[in-house]
Amino acid sequence: MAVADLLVAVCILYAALLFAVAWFAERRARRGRGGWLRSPVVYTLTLSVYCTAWTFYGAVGFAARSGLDYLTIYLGPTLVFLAWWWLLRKLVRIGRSQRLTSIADLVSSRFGKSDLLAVLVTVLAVIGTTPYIALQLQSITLSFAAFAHTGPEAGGRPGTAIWVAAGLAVFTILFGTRSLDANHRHHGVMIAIALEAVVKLAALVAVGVFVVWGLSGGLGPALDAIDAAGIAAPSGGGGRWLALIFLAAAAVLTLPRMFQVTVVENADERHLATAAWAFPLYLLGISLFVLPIAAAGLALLPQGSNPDLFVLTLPLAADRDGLALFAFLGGFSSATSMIVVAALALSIMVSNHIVVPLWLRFRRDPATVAGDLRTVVLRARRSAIAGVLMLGYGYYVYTDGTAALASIGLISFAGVAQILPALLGAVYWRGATRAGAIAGLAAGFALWGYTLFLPSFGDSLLMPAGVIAEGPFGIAWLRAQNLLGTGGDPLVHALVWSLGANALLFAGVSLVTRQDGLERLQASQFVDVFDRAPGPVAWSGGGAAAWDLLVMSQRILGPEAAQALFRRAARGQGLSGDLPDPTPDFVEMLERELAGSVGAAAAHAMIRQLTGAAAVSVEELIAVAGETREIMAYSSRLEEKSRELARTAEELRAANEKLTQISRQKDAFLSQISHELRTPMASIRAFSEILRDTDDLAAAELTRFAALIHDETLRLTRLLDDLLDLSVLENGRVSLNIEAGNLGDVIESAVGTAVLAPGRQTLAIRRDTMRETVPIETDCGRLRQVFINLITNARKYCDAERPELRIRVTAHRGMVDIDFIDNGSGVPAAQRALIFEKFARAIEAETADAAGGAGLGLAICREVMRSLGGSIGYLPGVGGAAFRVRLPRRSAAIAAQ
Amino acid sequence: MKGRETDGKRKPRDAARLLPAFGLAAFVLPVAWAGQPDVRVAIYVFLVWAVLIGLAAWLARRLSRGAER
Repeated sequence: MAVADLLVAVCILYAALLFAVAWFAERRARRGRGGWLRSPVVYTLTLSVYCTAWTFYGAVGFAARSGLDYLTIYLGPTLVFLAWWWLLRKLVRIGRSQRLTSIADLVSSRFGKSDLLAVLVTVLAVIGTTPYIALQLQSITLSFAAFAHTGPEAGGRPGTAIWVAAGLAVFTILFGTRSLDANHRHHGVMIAIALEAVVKLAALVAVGVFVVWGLSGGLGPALDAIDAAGIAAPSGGGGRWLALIFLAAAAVLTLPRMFQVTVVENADERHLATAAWAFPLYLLGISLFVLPIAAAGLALLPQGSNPDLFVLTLPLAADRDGLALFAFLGGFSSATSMIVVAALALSIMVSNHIVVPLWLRFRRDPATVAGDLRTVVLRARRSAIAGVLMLGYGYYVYTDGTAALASIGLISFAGVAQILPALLGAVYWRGATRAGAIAGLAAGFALWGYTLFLPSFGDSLLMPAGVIAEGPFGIAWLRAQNLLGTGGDPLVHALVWSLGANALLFAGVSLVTRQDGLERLQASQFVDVFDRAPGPVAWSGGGAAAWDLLVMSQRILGPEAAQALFRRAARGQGLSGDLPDPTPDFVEMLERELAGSVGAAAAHAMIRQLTGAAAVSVEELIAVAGETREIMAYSSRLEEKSRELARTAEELRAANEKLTQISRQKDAFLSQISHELRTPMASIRAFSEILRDTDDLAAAELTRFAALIHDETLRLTRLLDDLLDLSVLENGRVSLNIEAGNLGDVIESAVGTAVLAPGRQTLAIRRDTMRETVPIETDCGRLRQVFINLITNARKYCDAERPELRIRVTAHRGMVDIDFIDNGSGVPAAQRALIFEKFARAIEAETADAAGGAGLGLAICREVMRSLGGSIGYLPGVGGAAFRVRLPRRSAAIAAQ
Repeated sequence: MKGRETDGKRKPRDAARLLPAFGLAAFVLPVAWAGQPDVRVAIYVFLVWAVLIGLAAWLARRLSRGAER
């Protein structure tokens, strides 16, 4: 009795420790200092809730009975986690983007937020998990019994079980229902689970080390013992080995508690990268010493000892009470962590998918009913936790703890594995329909119950032994464990039939039924979760008043949270008040937010009642749904690209045209420049020949010829100077001589020079000297060169009878415009773009010949003005040829660089 | 240059996709020894397991260093 008291005291102390750790973690997280609570290591450790008491005690029993088969339970999950990149990552991403609260929520949400599917999965999960919880209670009772050496091994004291169940209910309610939002991580629970994960691994490894090096006498003898025990190979046929690996892989995906820790409690997708190898490593560590312990137990303990308790009885038999106590705590940890997380996950499912929908159904108008829906949901969740634990306890009492641990665990696994086809279809098959999922799940569930679950009770009221043996009404081909005359291992038999029918019906019915709009929408959001922006696809729902939405949200999220959410949304829409416009985007976001608390189906139903948009029309949805949207985006991308191409082609064509023109200009110039060079050259040659060959020239004639040669040389020099000048200007190597001056003076000087220069005609110049008085700071010499050029041009080209040039000065802020306007016929429009190009004058060759000049003047002007920070351009529409020189009043020494 | 870069990301991704299949193939092998208990079978399974964990760790590091998809 004293031993039992000691155990109770240890358990209470340990539980107190867990409470303290959970409370501490919650407090840290609330204060925002819980960064390490969300580390990948903690995430991996919480995943180990997969290893329950069934692992801790049962694996050794499993190995003692069926050899290497126990490993399959860990190899399956190992393979699943190796597939994290394409499987788990997708699940976690979907879970986050859809704010999923449970596996039932996932299935229901994907298949059009179906209530029926949610209920089906929830019921399946509850029925599948109940035996499992019973198993944990049984293991605790058994370990108590083994420790206290009281009574037979099976049975123990049910009193222990009920106290444990009650204690765990309190723990789960305290730390599991603090917040309504299921997406809000349960830091307290998770950190306690992580701690328990460490305890159970350490305990099992400690027992293993003791067995190998303490009892067996080293590694070699331990291996020999395993060989001798004959447990180092898969039992039976290969079918069972593969079926078990498959079953465990399916279970790690579909067990509600595994979905809870893997997807719902995941804080960061990147943690998966660590868990992908760390969790298999944990599993390897946990199963490493199972074989030696089983072999030693079989060899050392008396015949008929329960192999499920070797972990405990081996140290006890060797009088290592401390180690045994540690092992006991390890088993206790395994059992309690499983129960807590399973109860948490199931309570969320039950409250969100059964209680809330029922409540909604009985209260027609949730928006106007007074009261806080949160208390309803939280109360439902708390009662569900207690209910689930009571169910487990009831099952335990009812079956009297007879079945071996391993077989109960496998029955549970096979039950929840029925969700697998719907789950995989939900994530990978866009065409899977709700009807298919319902048909598959229902068939699988029924066959599992018929072929595995009910027969597991042995002779019971639900299925008497006679029915199991003979078939219902004596129909032999309906025998539960020999459907249609098939036989073999009952587990494999049940698995093949239930999952086979499930998958076939799921696929078959999906192929012949159609999706409705919402389903189609959800399908594309699930299957293409990696390809789309996280934002939801919105549709134009009915007009819900923002106020009604706020009232409803307050009752689910709480007043502060709801008001803050609405305020944020209003800010996001650029509104100043606290109420956002109920745009489709906002309503969709709100629904998602609510789904995090009450599940997708319930949230959808509530929003729908308010918005009045009872059914979204299929056309509308198709228009926004994935495929169309993608195609539209793609085609708009194409259009954009083709527009861009057209633009580029246009630019290329223009550039080509200009290049051709310039090339033509260059050719023309070359011929022009040759001509220009040739004419003076010819005269120089002719006159110098006369000078050379004629001996009797008069002195006056001699002087005249020499003067002619001199003039022609000057003309050549000028031409070459111009060319040189232009090339210097164009290369930006000109050095400016910036000085202060007066615009009037510059014009005056230019006019003087230009008018005095020899020319054919006289040009009347009209100026307004008053307006010319503008102080400037520039290179006056260069500016004067430009002006001279323009005036000379007017003199040369103005074809009016009485040529006249108007010089008009207009001062702006910081700039001065100087216009040179003559009364001739102007420059033809076609040539205006070209006159500033080099050698442009060549185009109008006939006039040019008459005027004389290489056509470099305007090109030089343009370069000069550019250097001075100004510009020169043709001014159309003012009568004759008009040029506007624009000059900054203060030239920065731009070209000086 | 760019081709090589995406190649460097795609290879580990493909390997990560194939790894579970490779693991399954390796774990199917013990079926051949079903009913013939020999401790070497157990050692084989654990060795394969350890190798898979090592590969997964290496790939996970490569993949998480690459940009998120």
